[in-house]
Amino acid sequence: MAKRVGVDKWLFGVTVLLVFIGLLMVFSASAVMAQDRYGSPYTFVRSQTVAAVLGLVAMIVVMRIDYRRFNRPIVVFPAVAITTLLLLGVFLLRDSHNTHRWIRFAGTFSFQPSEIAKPVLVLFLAWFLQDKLQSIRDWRNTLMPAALPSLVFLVLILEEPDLGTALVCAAVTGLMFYLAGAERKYFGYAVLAAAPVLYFKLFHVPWRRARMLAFLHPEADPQGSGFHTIQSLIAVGTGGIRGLGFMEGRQKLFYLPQPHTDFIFANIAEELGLIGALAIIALFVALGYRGLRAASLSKDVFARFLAFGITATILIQAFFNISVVLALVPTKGITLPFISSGGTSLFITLASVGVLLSLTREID
Amino acid sequence: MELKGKKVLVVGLGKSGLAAALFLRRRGAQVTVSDLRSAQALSKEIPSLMEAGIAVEAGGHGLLTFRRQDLIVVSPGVPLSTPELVQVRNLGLPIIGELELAARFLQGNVLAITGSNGKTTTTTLCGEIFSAAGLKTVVAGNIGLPVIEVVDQSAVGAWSVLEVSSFQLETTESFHPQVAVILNITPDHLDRHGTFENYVAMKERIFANQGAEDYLILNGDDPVVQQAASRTKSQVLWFSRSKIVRRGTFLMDGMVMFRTSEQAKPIPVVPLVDIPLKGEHNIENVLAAVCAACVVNIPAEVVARTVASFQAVEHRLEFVASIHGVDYYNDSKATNVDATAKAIASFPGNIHLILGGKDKNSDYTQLNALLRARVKAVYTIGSAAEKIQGQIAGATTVIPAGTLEAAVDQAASQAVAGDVVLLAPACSSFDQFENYEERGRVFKQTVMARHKANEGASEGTNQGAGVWQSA
Repeated sequence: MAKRVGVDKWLFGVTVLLVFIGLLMVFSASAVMAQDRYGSPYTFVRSQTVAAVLGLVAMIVVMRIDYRRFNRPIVVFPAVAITTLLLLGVFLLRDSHNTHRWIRFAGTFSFQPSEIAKPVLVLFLAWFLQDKLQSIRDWRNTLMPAALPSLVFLVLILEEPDLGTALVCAAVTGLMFYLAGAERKYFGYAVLAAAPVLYFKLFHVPWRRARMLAFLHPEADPQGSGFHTIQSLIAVGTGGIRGLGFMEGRQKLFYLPQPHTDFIFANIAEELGLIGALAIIALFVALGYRGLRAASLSKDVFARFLAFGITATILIQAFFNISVVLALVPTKGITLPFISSGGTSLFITLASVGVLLSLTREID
Repeated sequence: MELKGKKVLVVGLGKSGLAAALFLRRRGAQVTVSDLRSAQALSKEIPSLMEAGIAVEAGGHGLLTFRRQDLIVVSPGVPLSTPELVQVRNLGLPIIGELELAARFLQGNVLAITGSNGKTTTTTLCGEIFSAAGLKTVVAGNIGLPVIEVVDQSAVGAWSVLEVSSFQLETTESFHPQVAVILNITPDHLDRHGTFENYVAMKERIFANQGAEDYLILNGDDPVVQQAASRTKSQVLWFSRSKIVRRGTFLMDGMVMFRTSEQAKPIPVVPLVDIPLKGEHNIENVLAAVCAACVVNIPAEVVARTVASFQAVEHRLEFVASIHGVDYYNDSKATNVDATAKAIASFPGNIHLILGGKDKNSDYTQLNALLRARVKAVYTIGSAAEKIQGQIAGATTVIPAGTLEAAVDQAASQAVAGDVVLLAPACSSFDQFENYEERGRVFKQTVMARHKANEGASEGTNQGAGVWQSA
């Protein structure tokens, strides 16, 4: 029966725990590098803490809002429009690392629009698909209009270029269509259409081609393109079962690139060992279980789609990120949700968990 | 409509056919009734009909009987494809249903409720709210009391709250409710209506005669019902569990809210926690009833009070007893797959489900996902048992029980504390019982017999007072 029970305490607890572990590990992974680069070991952990506090506040605020308030065109359309504008905006602004992923405000505050694109896409699809379950076979009136904003987002994110986020968006979109009951042949068409783009993006963008080849043969160029992969595996292997101990990691000392962001899981495996790595994975599994449980027990279709989409976004990112660290898939630049250093990602992920928590209020 | 001296034939002697015949006779018509059942099978009804001066044709329909009439009234159980009816319709004879007959004599306002599931609960709740608001109200229709029987009680200014089925709507012409409600439309009775489109069209007849001053209340979460909005002249209101609707009832911050227009401030009507009914679909029923009450300006306090004190309808997820920590629920009215799915969805899990009866050409594989997730074991009864077993095998344990009594015994022996034994058979009852009411009563008696045998040893019965505890 729908009634006001509390939010899902497991989901809440697991989220807070992940964020806390994330802060510790970001500090551990970045302290030496930050000291070297900015003169203070706290540079990264400070901004990460600010994002975590703001994110947790946002989560608690959003959690108290009835999720039905988001189920309105007056919320959905501006969200899609603003996200599109922000995604376009990054092309007009200064670039960082040769990529257009960021928008900066007065030097103190910057953020990544592609992070916002993920929850907005989930919101749009949940809103659009909720009434279309009967007509999902009608591709002209259902699949096409639903796929259009997703495609616009995908193309813009792909052009930033941020292949990782684009792939996460594509996977979430596909899963939500699958959940809505779209026919299998359309997934076939989508894969066929995406294959040449993916091939082009992977093998004709020079640095990605290098990464691809590095993934296939990391030992061929250990000092160059194979560096990421090899250093990451060295970190994981060094950790062994019990790890070297918190703050004791060595790979982060300028061997492991991006030890506090994309490769933080390698640092975790090195310092906390197999036990710590499995604990992190267990927390994500617990989060996934509670999120999917919310999706299956929710009372209305919108809530189900929303819960599923938010949970899937987090799990897919965690899965890809850990796979990259373990060299199971090529390097792609996907962060580990809650843990990797990155303010926008952390804030947005926590706010989306707030939505998830809001809809667990009505589950017995 | 003048009936005096008219020759009228009533086809089918169900509850409403019988009531229609007696009504027509009281109004001075020359009445004949015709039924396929034999005179022996009708031995209960025939004497009272003869006494009233009504001619009876039993054991079959005679074409001549049909041809000689001025008007033919068809019971809801009789298919319009009956050859005799097709023939006389081609001759141009007017053929109407019991509901249409009643509609021509009903005075005052009509609130009509239709849908595949939840009609009885919603109708009963609406009736209670309208009465509590001091309106002169009669509740009738598919609910067990033929509309024709309450025609004489209807008056200008009074409300007739009617549960109408698609069968009844099939034969309406001038039926004109001031407020019409369509709760949901799911495939049901396909054996009778043929196609789903036909079935939808039947349900939509509920607003065929409505005008701009009338209200149509639709389920905003049901895509099939939603489409009705574009085909009506009446003012549309919505009820929704998931959306904030422009006009109508919705959920927000744990309250049932109502608003008359997009600009209007939503009025909080009743907190969700105060709704005593079990089951998710019952929230929809309450939203629909609250919408119907608010649109005729019944004060929110009256609505809230009535909803909070509303007791469940018999045979609709009715709590029977708790024996050794196992709860027994009677949902005998779940005579189709969708109603059974909703019944299963009302419980989080650990269900022992009794399925079966007379098959209605249903697809039981639709239950498989729910069975897998929430049902520990299925106990099959009746003639549909084998088909059900074939279609759901693999989803959960299936135990052939044969009779309802045996099913209760087996379920009781398997269930442990915390489990639920649920009768929600997804089939009609006609192979083993008179009707679903009898099936429900037999279930309750069987359970209560076990309960009595246990008494003294276990906790007291919950039956009677406030049995709808929330989980």
